[in-house]
Amino acid sequence: MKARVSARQEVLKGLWDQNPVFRQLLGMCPTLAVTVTALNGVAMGAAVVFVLVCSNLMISLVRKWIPGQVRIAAYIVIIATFVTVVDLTMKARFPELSSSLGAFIPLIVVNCIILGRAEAFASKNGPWRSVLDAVGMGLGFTFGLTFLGSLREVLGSGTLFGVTVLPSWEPWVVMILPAGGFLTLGLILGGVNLITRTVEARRRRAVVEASRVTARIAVTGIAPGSPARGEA
Amino acid sequence: MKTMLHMVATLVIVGLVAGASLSLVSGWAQPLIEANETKVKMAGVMEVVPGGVSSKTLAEIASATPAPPGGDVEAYQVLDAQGQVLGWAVIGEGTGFSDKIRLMVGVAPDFGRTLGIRILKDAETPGLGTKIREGDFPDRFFGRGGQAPSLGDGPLTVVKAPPGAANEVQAITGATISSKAVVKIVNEGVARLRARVGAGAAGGGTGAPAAPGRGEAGR
Repeated sequence: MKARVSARQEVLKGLWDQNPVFRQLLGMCPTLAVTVTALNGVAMGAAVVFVLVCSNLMISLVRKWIPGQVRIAAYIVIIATFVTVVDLTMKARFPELSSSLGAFIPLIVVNCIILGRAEAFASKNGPWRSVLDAVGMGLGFTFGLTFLGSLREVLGSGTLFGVTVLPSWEPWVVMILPAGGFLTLGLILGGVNLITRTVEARRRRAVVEASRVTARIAVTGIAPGSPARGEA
Repeated sequence: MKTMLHMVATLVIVGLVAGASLSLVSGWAQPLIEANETKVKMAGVMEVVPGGVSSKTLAEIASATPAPPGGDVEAYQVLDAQGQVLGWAVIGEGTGFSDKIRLMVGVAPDFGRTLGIRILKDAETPGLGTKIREGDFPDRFFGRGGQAPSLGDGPLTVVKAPPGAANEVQAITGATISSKAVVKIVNEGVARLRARVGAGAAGGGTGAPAAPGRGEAGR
């Protein structure tokens, strides 16, 4: 059991290490299209969390009965069912939100995150881990979209979640145009890469440092636990 | 052969279960969706003609005249508490930037100016074209501060600068096509209603509300 990833890790990996938006660059179409406001980001993210959790759970439950040759077709039907449920529910309960997200709710069917997790994770893991994976990935997607949407809304409209935060701000209209989506996403990706690279470099330096100590121990024959090791 | 049967059976079962569950959800959601649409529509009628308390459908008013071929115009005559005609609410539809726009426009009883506008359905670009339904663009059609665009000098036109002439409406920055589409739908809707009930219908808001409409249209 020790070799397996912990349940906590299963959820957390989707938030940063394998974040669907910032690290895997999946689902870019809704990411760029709906993130003109922070609320749109949250709503889209919530819809994806629901579909992802339901489809991952369902697929991990039925994975043993579905022959490999028709698995993609079966997965898509399962995913499309949950997406339609979300679409109808939003139209019935939150008509405003549904009209502002337009066609992007039905398009969750072809969102690569959903099929990607079904294929890469749920078809190989049990229900409990698949749900954890879906929660992590879904929240990571929500976080990515909300972050992008907040930046674009603040700069493009001077508001955040509809509340004015920059009263004397001349809105940069380009931020809510498609070009603004690409600009913001590109800069965020650059920032994320910078952070991961710095962290990675620091970790590598620590590893090199540690191996140098090991090498010295090997050469000098000073046993672990001796003062030499304490120094390092 | 066995695998093939297995494959077909799997897909049939998945399809059946999916279809059955969707029909259940749809049965629950459809009435709610329709109720939402009606609610939005009736709220829209009272919003685009400010001060209205009750409304009559065009069919109730102009039942004497046959509906023109190709479908009747959907319109409501809006009355205040005393039964005076405040104006009309007309529903119009036309092509927007990405899909059809459906809207409701309020117009004075003499068709001289718009009183308000409400977008019922659109699929415009989020954040740009969707501004046709929020903020100050709808306000440009409301009779606030005497700035309501006048239809007296002909149909409304779209301009990119603050309006000069009385029949000009300023477009939304970055959404000129959506703005033009809205104005076109407004013009067409008002023209259709005008043709249907006659120019002087409703007698400027005095007298029995239903009678003048029928009389004018009957000629």
